[in-house]
Amino acid sequence: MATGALVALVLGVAGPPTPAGAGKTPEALKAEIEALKPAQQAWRAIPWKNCPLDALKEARAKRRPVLTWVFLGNPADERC
Amino acid sequence: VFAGAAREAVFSRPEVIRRINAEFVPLAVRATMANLIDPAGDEAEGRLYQRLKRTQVAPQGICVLNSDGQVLDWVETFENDASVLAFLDYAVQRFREHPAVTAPVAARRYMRYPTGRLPDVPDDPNPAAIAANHPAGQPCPALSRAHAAAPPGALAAALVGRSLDAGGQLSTDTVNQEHYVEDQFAIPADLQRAVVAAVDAASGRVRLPEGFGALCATYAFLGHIDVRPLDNPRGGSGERKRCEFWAEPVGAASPGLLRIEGQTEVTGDLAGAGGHHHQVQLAWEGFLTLDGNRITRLLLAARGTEALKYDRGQPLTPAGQPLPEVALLPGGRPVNQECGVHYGIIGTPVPGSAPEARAQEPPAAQPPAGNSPPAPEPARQLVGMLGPQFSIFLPEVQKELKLTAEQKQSLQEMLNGAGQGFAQFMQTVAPLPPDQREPKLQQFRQEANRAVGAALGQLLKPEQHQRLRQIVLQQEGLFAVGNPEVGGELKLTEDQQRRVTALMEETQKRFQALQEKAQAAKDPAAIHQEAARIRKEQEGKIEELLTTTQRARWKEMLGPPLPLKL
Repeated sequence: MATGALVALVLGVAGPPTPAGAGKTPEALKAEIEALKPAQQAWRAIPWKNCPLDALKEARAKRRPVLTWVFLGNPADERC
Repeated sequence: VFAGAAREAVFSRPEVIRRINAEFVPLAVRATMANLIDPAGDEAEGRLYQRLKRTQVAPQGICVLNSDGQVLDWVETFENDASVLAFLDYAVQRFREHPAVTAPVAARRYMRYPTGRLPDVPDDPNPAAIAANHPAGQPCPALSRAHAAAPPGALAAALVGRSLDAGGQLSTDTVNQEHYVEDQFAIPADLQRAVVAAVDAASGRVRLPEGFGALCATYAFLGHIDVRPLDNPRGGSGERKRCEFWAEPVGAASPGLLRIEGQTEVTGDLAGAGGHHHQVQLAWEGFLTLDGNRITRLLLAARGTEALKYDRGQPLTPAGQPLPEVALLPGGRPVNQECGVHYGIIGTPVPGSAPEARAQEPPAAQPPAGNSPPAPEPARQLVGMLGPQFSIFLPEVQKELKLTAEQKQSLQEMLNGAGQGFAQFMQTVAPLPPDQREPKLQQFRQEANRAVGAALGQLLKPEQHQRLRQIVLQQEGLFAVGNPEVGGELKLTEDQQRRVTALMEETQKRFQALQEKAQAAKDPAAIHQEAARIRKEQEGKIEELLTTTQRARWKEMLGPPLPLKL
């Protein structure tokens, strides 16, 4: 390796890295990303309502208590 | 952390899911609404939130209502896994006893079910059923706040990440966030324009603006929100040790399509109990599709390594056994892992965000790589934007007040909520002109201060409250004399009150003129020195109005000085 290139690497100022996945197509990459998600996610098996009045309406119709989860963030679709 | 810990330890368990779906109506409510920080849509909804707020154990928790909206039970944590199912049995039994409004029902509350019962909170003496409909034609505001939403013009990016096992395979754990995360973030329109401008500025291979890689690196990490290495909501140090992305057109056959690749390395540290050490090194590859001045599709994958240590201590039972996760919901459990990781990001335009013709407007200025000033910690930003009462979230103030670990934990949860609520609010008002934005900001400021003040009233001991007030007055300076409560303590005469009011109006006008001058000069930073001079001058005028006795009393009200870095 040339001295200049070695110095650049040591100093962390090397030029653009060589493409690693040059042969991959957008469709193949999209499939790879989508495969990271499981087919079913446990916490999504509970159909949480978001409107409290709608929940009361259903509670009256089904004669059930309302289990209310009070939280910060967006646990339905984000890190929390 | 409560939301994530409850999602993992309670609401992902098959038997719990089965029982909830079969025997309850599940309702998810954002704490900003249940704690009256965000406004309710109408009276009926507001009454329900007031009942939640009045009876709650903490800002976050699990609550059971009957079908008329009476609060039956609250629970914050559970003794063990079996206690979760026992609580569901208990809640069903309580509902059978009180299915609807017939008489007042005291809310039963558990810090830990079933052994940690707190005093009941009595019901309204004349309870009434809460209507189960919004007024005709009025949408439920909770629906629009239920899910994360990117603003118009942004590219909505959905991220998924998984840890790898020792053999390099995807971990089978897709419940616990140190092994599996889903997240969302927005790539704003100005950053998209900067990417387009960078691509247009040269042919062939080009380096993308650092902001693009910084955004991806900020969100690509395992674990809950509190262990974020960069821009952590709890503060701490975060550093981008490496962040570079490059783009190259795929070819004439695919106009607008670019292959991208990058390298990022980030670290984050927060010392003390509940602190963390986090390091993420990733190599990225993917594709960008550009149309006009926007990114219309983003596909990114990253592989690398990650080290995460979340050190909240390991609380033990009286028998010396580690407490189960359901007993640790507010703070989560300790994590210590080093592993391979695999991330993916898919970005799609927010509906209604049509791209414009390219190069119609200059690209947003990008700070030189590596020289961008560090963003202020979220708590300090809130103090600056919402007022000195929010200094309770600063570590130096919490240390001065000698807060307990539980108090700090509650405040951390409040800070997370306040930060998210404020960010959402700012996204809403950002497009408005200043004359429309400022009144809304003023209203938000008042409501936020009222909500935080009420929460602190419950959380702090009297001597802590007294010291916090001194610290708040130190920041407000003599302008606090215009507050009727402070003026009353100083026994201002009517003439003094009138003159103080006039001086405050004069100060406001001088600040407004200064702000307009800075905006015209397009140099907002230039006003700071002049603003400090005006402040000092006006405070001097107020001090001259006070008698010797009032000055002495004011000095007493301030207490020992506590300098803050704001």
